[in-house]
Amino acid sequence: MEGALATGRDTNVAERVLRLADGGLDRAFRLAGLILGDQHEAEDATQEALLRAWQSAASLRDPAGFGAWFDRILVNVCRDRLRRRGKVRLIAIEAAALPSRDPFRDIADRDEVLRAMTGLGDDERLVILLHYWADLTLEAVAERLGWPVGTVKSRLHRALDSMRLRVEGPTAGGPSI
Amino acid sequence: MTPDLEQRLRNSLREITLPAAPAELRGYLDDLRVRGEPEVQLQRGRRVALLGAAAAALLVLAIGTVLMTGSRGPGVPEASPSPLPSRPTATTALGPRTFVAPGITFDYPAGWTDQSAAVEYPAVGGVRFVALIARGMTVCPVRYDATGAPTPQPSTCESAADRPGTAIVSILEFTHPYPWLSLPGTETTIAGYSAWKQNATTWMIRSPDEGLYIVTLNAPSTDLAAVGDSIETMLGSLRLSAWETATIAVDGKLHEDPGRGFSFDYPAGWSRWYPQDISTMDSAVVTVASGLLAPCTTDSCQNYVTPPDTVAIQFRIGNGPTSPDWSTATATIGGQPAFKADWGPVNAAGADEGHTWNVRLTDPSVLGIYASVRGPGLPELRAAMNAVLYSIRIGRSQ
Repeated sequence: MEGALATGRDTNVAERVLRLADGGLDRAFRLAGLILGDQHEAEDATQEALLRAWQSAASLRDPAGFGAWFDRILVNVCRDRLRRRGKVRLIAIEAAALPSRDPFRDIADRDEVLRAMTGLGDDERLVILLHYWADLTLEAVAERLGWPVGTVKSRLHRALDSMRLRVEGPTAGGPSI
Repeated sequence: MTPDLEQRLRNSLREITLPAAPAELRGYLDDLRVRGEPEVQLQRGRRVALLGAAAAALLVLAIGTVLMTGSRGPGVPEASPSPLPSRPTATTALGPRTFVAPGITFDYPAGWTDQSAAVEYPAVGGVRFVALIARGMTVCPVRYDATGAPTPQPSTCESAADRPGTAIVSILEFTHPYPWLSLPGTETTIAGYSAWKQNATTWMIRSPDEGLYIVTLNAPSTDLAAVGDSIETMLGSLRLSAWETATIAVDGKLHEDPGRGFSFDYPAGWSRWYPQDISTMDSAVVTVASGLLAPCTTDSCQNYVTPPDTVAIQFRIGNGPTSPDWSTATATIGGQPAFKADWGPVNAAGADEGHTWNVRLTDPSVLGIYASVRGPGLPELRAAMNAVLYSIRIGRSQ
């Protein structure tokens, strides 16, 4: 099996990867959508992640670890897209003016908590989504993001502080600029 | 966060009804199974094509909420220099013609006409509209920041290059981006300048002063390849040079009005960038710093590294929540309520301390001010930071 896995093009291994991906396709698409805030881009990202998973099937040593392995691929694809988007974003000017009908973009309209979450920086929002939406432990979040657990904790702390400020208002501090 | 709010977050996330994966994705999985490695068929092109039908079918670079909200200039002090250069001019001779604007010159073929006057672009810091040339058509007037009822269009004009033989090329410039800005697309060289070709219709060219020219082509798909070739030939004639709007220092301070509802003064010796950094719900507008900033080297650092003995201040605008309750604000910036948060050392960004202010701009917009300070010389740097904050003016003009 090791030899077969090493080829990465072995039909059985690739088939297994695709079967596992099929079972989690809805979740993967939704996670990508929440991260990217855009239905079409989520579709692109999920597709790209599927291809990367298929191409790198050899790197999946233990099928039991498929979830974390594929999550990491998907999150990396999404982060690449956020990074590119953060630098330069090309959009049709008319698109910007159209009312949103994107369920991922519209979640901020649901309540003040989600609005505060969507206002976070990309990395903070990632941590929040993986921990609270995907129900992952901080260690599992760290594994998917490739960060030390301490970094995940500090990002989470910062994200929650920022959300608290937006949702609850300040709790302390005197007048100042 | 209080446990109550944390629970609210869990509940809110749990209650979201999200769509299932589209059938196309399952079809893609099936393709992988059956045929092996298929070509990646991303959907972005389809989306743009669907949305690009209205007014100008120009794909242009939009910067955050400016174009989403159509927002336009804030209090422009009377002494403020014009943020944009004067309208470009073009020669009218027969045969190849030359387009000239500050910092850019190029020759365009006979049969194309300079219709830049059809475009009215908002005065926004960091972006200038440079040119629109078209072939085989008269482009309908476009106002990108229009808020009133549209002016009736002449019956002979067209908003998109849909007919065979028609084409539109638009050029915008990002001025003063971060010099380390990474760009999407295939790296190449155009007329000797570093450039990136993103796809068959978009080119980006870096000018000697680090500005980025964005060239976008709109043409019928059947003509795209041929017209694209002629545009690349045209771009081969580009001559780019450094240019700068006139700035006047008053008492050693420059006035910065990025056209987003706020303005401020900063020392004339400082550096200034327009980051072109957009996240889901906010966008960086302008960054000023007492020295040159350095690019991030780790994932934990999100914007820039603050070098020693430097203060950097980034201004961002986001569509904030309807809360917080501004009546409980603990600070005032530019006459508007604000909330302040202080951060300790920000190791990844090199700062010894960080400070954040969220200021009510125009509900529900929030001006976020992010200052990072790195010693030695912390007291002086804090004083310089405070001077910038005290100079902030908030409000719209016109």
